[in-house]
Amino acid sequence: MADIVAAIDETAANVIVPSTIGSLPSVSRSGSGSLGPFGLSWSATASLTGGTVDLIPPPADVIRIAGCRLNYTLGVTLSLDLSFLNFCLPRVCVRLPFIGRICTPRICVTFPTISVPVSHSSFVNFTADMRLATALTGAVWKVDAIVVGVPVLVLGPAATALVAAIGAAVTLALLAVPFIGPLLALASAIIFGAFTVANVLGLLGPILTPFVSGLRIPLYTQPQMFEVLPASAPDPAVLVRLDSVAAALDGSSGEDELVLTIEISP
Amino acid sequence: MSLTETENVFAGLHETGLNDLLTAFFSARPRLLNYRTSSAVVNTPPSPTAWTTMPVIAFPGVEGGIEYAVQFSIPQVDIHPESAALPPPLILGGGQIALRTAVEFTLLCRRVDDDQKPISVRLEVVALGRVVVRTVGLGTGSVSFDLLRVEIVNITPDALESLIECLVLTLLRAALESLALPFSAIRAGAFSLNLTRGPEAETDQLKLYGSAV
Amino acid sequence: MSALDSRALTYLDCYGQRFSTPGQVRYAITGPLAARLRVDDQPYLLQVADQQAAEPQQHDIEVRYENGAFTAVPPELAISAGDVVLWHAAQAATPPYAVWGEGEDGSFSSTSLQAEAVYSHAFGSAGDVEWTDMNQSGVGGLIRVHDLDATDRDACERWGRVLCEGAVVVVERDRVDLPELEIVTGQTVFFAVTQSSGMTVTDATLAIPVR
Repeated sequence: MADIVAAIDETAANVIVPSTIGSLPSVSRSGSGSLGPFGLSWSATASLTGGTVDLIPPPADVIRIAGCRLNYTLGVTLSLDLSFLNFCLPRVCVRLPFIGRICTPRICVTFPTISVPVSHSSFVNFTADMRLATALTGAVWKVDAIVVGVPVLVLGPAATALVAAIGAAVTLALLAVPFIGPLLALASAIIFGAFTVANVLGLLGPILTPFVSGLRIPLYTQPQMFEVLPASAPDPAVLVRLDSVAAALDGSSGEDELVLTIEISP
Repeated sequence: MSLTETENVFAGLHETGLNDLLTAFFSARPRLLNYRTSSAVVNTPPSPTAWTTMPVIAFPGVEGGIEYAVQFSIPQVDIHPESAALPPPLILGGGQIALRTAVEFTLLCRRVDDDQKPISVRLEVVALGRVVVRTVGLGTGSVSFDLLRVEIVNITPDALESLIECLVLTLLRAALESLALPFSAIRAGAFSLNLTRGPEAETDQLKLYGSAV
Repeated sequence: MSALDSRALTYLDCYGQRFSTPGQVRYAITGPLAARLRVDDQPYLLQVADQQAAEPQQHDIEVRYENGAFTAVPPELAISAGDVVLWHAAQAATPPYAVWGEGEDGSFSSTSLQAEAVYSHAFGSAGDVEWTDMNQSGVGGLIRVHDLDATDRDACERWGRVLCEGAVVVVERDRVDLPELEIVTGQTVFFAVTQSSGMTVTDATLAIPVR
């Protein structure tokens, strides 16, 4: 029998794992891409909360977390080239009392490329299967639960909400462009017709999925030289060596448990 | 039966692991096993920090008092059921531990010619006891040993054996007073628990049960 | 955005000045602040000839900005007495500028409209624009700019026709003939100054005068 055996059942797992998930620091990523014909840059920050844990022993041998929530804040800067709206004001001629007829030249109005910042916060629930991975890295024992495969994120509602947020931001940005007034409806129709919810889905998926597919939940982290007792004058600390750590899911006794077995030496 | 049984968190320390912890503890803090009045009595181990210095035993007419040393070897524990036979009449009952150690008494003996020479005797000691909770808090706590009786074989007459056994039990309980193993050591830092059951000494393991923190 | 301000001309503005007295007119094109200080050289020339044409003619001079300086194209121009010279910038990227100089009629400046001067502005945004004279003469007025939805063909054609129609506001000393005016986005308003001690046409929200 191992020197030390520690085990939790599903009830404890549903306390420990969600708590651990909630204490993970937010992760930020950034990148660039496109939305239809428009370029964009994005930054995203995400954190996780909640989840219901199911310990599934072999043969499946996974920890299933259902209903875990990925909370995210997405900042997108759309680059809209409005040059398709360029037009020229015609020559305007009037008669003035002291000059007679006077005419302005043609004035060509060029529309700029505008940057439209869009900020959008939402969440998406997901279910993921995780496997236990044990390693001794840098004299530290770690047991992590690592996501298996790429969880499917149901992003339809999030994409629809993001389209609405983009629409609101683009409309606001367009209003500030000189000479846009008579062309606003036309510009909006062209711009919003250039991308669809599917495009936004294609944008969101690659942004958000890595936050989940790369998820590691730390279940056990201890230095190989484990401190039994701290130093207390005049006595030094008491240390033992963790020679090996193993983690497994076990249901052979009729209750599903996560079991750590640890060998120590003085 | 599952490890956690009707509780949610389980931590089990096998007696081999417990003995590794005891070895680590007393190797780091040998002064808790070595007591002497001066290095003139005994000087092994040589480091002064490995010793607890004791006052001499004052006695009228004994100039400078009586000098002595008491040393224990690193105790090793056997959790029920017994892994090795105990000397009669000791029986390792359910929930109990047997603790084995050796005690060495050394007396700095004064002879009539003022020559002082240390005289030692080493005795093998087996003690029966139980594991008790020393402290307990939210997700924390510690256990220690409560020794109940000691058996030292082959001392005659019986009255002398009883006297020495009482003395050794008294000294051993005092020496182990500072030994408090935190729950975190029993579970090697895994899965904090609020203790709801235990410590239980059975199947060669020290077992703690509780709820998740 | 290109604001209504005759002190700082952009590609949406024109400045016109009539020259009635024969002789030489020298002028400069600078930033608005330099125009107020009048410290630069006046390298450009208008030669105003003695004979008058049957009808006053309009002469256009394009303002360009190249290598960190404003230039007039053409730099020299021969006109007849009574003709009008109209300065304008064709490129939207041209920085704000001012035209100022001296001739036989005296000094003139787009930053201080006096006699027989005109300032035009194409309005790009809907809303109410209250204009005033930053030189404190008290003249001013209100331009109400309305949007027109040009999405469908008919509306677009209607808008195109409206854009050809300019509006005129005549200022004579302290009198404004149209203190309130309604136009659509994209239309041009001409502010014709027949007589003034030197005025500006400036959006009243631009509170700090250029000194």
